[in-house]
Amino acid sequence: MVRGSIHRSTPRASARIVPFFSLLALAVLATATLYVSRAGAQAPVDCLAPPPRNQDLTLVAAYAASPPAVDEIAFTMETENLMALTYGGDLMQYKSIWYPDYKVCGAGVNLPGDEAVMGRWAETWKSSADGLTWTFGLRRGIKSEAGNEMTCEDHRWSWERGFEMKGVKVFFAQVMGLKSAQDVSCPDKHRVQFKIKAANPLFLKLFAMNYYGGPFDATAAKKHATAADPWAKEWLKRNTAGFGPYKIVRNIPGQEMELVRNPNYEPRPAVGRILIKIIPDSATRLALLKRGQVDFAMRLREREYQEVAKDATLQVVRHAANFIPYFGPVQTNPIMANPKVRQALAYALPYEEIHQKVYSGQGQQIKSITPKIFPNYTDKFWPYRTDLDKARALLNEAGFPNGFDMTISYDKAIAEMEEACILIKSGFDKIGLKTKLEGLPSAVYSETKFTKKQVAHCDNFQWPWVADTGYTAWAYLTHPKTNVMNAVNNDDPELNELTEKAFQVPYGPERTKNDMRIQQIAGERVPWIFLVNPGWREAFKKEWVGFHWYPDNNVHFDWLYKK
Amino acid sequence: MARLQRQRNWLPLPQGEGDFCVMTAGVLRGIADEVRNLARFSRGRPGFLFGLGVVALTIFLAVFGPRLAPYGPEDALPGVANRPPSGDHWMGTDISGMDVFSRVIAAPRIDLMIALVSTAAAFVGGVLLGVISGFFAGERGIWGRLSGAILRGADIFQAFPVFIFALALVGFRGPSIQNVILALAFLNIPFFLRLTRGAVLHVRERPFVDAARCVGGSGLRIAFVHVMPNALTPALTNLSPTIGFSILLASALSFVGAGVPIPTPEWGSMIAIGAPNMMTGQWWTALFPGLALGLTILGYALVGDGFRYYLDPVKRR
Amino acid sequence: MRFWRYAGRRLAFLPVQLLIVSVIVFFLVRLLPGDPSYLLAGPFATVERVDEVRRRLGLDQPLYVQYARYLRSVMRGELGTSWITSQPVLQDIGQRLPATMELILAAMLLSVLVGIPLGVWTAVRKTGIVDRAVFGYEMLAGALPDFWFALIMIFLFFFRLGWAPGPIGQLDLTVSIPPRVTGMYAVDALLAGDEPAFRSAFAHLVLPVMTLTAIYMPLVMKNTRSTMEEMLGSEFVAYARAAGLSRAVQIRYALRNSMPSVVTIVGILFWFLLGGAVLVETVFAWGGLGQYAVQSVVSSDYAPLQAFVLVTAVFTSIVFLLVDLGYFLLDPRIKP
Repeated sequence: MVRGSIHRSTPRASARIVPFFSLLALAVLATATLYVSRAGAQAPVDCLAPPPRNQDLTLVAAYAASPPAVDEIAFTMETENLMALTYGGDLMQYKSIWYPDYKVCGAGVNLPGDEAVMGRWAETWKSSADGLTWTFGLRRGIKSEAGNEMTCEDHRWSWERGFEMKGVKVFFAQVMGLKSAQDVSCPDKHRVQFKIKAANPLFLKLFAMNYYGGPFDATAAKKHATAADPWAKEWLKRNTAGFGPYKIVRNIPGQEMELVRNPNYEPRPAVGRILIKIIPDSATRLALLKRGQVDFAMRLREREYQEVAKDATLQVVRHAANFIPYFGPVQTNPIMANPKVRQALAYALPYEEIHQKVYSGQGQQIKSITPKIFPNYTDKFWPYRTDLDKARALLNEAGFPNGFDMTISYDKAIAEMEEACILIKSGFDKIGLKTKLEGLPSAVYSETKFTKKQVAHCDNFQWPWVADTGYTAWAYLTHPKTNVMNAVNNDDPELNELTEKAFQVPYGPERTKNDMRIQQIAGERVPWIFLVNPGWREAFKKEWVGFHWYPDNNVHFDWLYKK
Repeated sequence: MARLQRQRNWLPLPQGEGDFCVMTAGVLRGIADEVRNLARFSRGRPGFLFGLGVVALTIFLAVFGPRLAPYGPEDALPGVANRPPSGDHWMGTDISGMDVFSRVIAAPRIDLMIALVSTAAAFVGGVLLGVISGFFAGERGIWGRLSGAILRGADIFQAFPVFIFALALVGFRGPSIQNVILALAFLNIPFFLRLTRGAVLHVRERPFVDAARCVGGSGLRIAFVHVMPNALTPALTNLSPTIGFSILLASALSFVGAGVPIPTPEWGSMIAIGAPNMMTGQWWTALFPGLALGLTILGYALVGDGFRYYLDPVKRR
Repeated sequence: MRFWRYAGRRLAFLPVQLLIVSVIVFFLVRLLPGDPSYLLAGPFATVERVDEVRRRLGLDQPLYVQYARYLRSVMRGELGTSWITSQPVLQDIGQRLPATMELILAAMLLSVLVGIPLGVWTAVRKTGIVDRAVFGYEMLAGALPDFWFALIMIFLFFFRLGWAPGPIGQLDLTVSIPPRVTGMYAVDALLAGDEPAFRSAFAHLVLPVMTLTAIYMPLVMKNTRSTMEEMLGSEFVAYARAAGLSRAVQIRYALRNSMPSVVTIVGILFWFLLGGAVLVETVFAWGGLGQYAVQSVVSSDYAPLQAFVLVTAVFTSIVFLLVDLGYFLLDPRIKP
């Protein structure tokens, strides 16, 4: 929590000067306020202000699916969503700032360096001089819904469990530089200490990104541990023991869930009860929203969001966000491995048509591996526009004057990807390729994508959680043998080297130079052909306010209230 | 000359009937006779006529449909997504801008091909297996055992829930037209098998079979030459309804997304594309394909119903 | 004696048959593409993570080992765990079976209540137009696809007229589930005296039950009618007529003799409804077994699919055995 500046009063002010200056200050303030309000723009909302304490609301939500589990063992988007609500995040969080273009609060991801983050569970944090040891001081009085106060032991147990589960926490450990559970220790009850293998400028940001995976309430969780199951894996699959704003009271997979407020969580959420109903079909979710039977409908198509926007009782909340839908030629295929072929495809793609037809002109065409709102973004390395002649010329140069056969795969469950793929197919067919579309069920798609059996795919699954160019490129475009997420099998030695540096080089001119070079390589060698970033969009009833965008792209109900 | 005639007379026909000219003339006159019978039969049976009309229409569309379509059946036309029926688009357009009417009349090619090929395969396979299984049922020796094994095999396959099994079969091999045909053929074989087997069990008790045995024919010859032609009736009468049912099953598979791949025009997948629109009021995208589907199946069922009466001289009266 | 020997042989074969069914089910399902490990590993997957998920799902062993494990657990009554719900399949089935049963039983009740009287009536009164209309409806009902008909019903009664609630399952969003006695929401609500829940459950039942009834009721009607016609034309009814008994009495005799056949048809109706419910459940998001089965295929969820196919196959095998034996019993001209 940001504290205001401390007002210091001078005891020697004479009785006349103080009132005069006070009046002057008041006049200046009044003028300033008038000026700002007359400018027409809405006065910036204080994004750190808690929701009003006198409201006790129920929110009814229509979700597309239920989480397979509320634990790291099964990590779908729904799992992230529910864990964010019940575990509340980790030691740090992004500062929330006002985005006037979208009239919404959001994580200040473009703030430089560590200015972007602030403490969540931690009230102090410092690193040793060599950067190899970080110590966090916990806030006092953080209580879980079971009533247990947060201590270092909760963090330590959670990390130990994370290493054992070999789940998402291991990924973060890898990126942070933690080698094992021994590197997390408790110097005392209210201090958590981490030993990392090298100084890492992204360390705090990585904690800010762990929005769903905060510490378990170890005391409560251990009650459900058994000799055969010392980490309470069975119980924690469907139940939660966390310090977050909500707890799950009812969970019927595939049908519905109910969450109620954690009475001990501060700042107290205005929404006291959340009813989640699982409606697999997006048109039905839309219909329910329009009839006022739900407050929130998740994951609609852009077409459907347009209908919501037209309805006077509803609203669509938007933010630029960090989505990177892309067309990915998989480089295990020898034709796709040829950079000239990829460049040809980049010139053949119908960007404008996709933007208009699939996304109704909303959002923006993507021009860099770095999302626009991240620091050091530049669009100067992306020259590609739809230019069929250039595409054909490049194809010739690459040695395919008569085109070739290709199959484009996509996840059938994502309607917008199907629509985009249909348009991409017709674009490619115009330069002489024979394209076939392959819509696959989610499980099959994931498998063939990550085992690199596909030729090419249209995907929108990637959004980089850490607001950093180096991290983004590292995760998706380097080290194919160890980075599962590098589904296009891109293996560029310079890129590999540069992204490693992202975890070492401190903020400054050298880092900025690296970020630029990474974007340049992405533009020249085109491992991903970028499509359109539709932005974060959520459909709600109009009376709800208090939206906060966070790079996990979930709606955080604990901030919402009604006007 | 006599020797030549004897060589040609490999069919069990009276002397003289083996001659080629006699054969063709006879067959043609037989066909003409049957058509006349059929015409007489159809008079006064409007249902049967309607069914024949539907069958004829679907065959016509299967051949000429895509060419007659005003727009390309797989063309996503720019700017006209989700338009209601109008002068330009008689059945409206769907969510991607594809003309519904063009797709409705182009779909029979796919649907009919799937249904015909799979039913034909199932018919041939089922009848052959059914004859063997029925004729040699209960006998000792290798044929008897084979008969039993065939029946057990059919039992096993018929035990699976039809739709889910088809779904799993297609899911296993991937959604494509060939795999749908395979799955449907597989599923329908036990059906024809049982029908034929039941008929064969009846027929083999008839005196003329005993007579053929006395004359010295081998088991297989009797089975396929004497018994089978007389046991075909149940399978034949069910041919048409099975075609209809196969179309329905293929559509159901496509509706769930495990049939024909998008954007191939197929009635079931068209209904699937149009289903979300039903909730928001664009009724035309799913209505027309469903109507076409229903009328087609109805037509084939009526034809099957009619043929049941036609082929059974007792019921015909 | 010969019949019983045949019956004995068939019964002896039954366990072998069931074993073969389990093998086919297992291998067919396992050969489905789509290893769910990658999907479950999620966006921060590491190679160890994917391997860990696969190990946890038991998919890392060679197929024959997996089959042995599967057989052993089936013997024990464990049908595996769904990776979508993370619950044991038996528990999932237990939650969803009552929903399907509610639908099917309601549809059956309505079909019988409407179909039998209609069948009798059209058999007795052979008036031209009504007869043709009924015949037309029968043929049409057999031809229209049930999933499409369900969509039309939703469009008419939910979207256009607003009479029925939307296809979101069994209850309104804000109504709480009544305490579980049978698992069928309408029945449980009635038993608990929970009026809003009962009204909501009943309202949600209307459309799917009407869809199923409209499509499958003609089966009952057609068979009742044909049996009644047969009976009315039979010799003993002719005798009754000759003996001067009233029409009503003749009909009563005919009806009583039709009952066994009608009861058989009702049994077959149940079987058809089980199949028909699958797609109707999917369209209405009913949360029953049919939707569960379809979902499992589409998302490569092996355990529920195996369980569903296995249970149905076992059930059907037994029923077919009985029918086959009955076939020989009924027609003495056929020898097994």
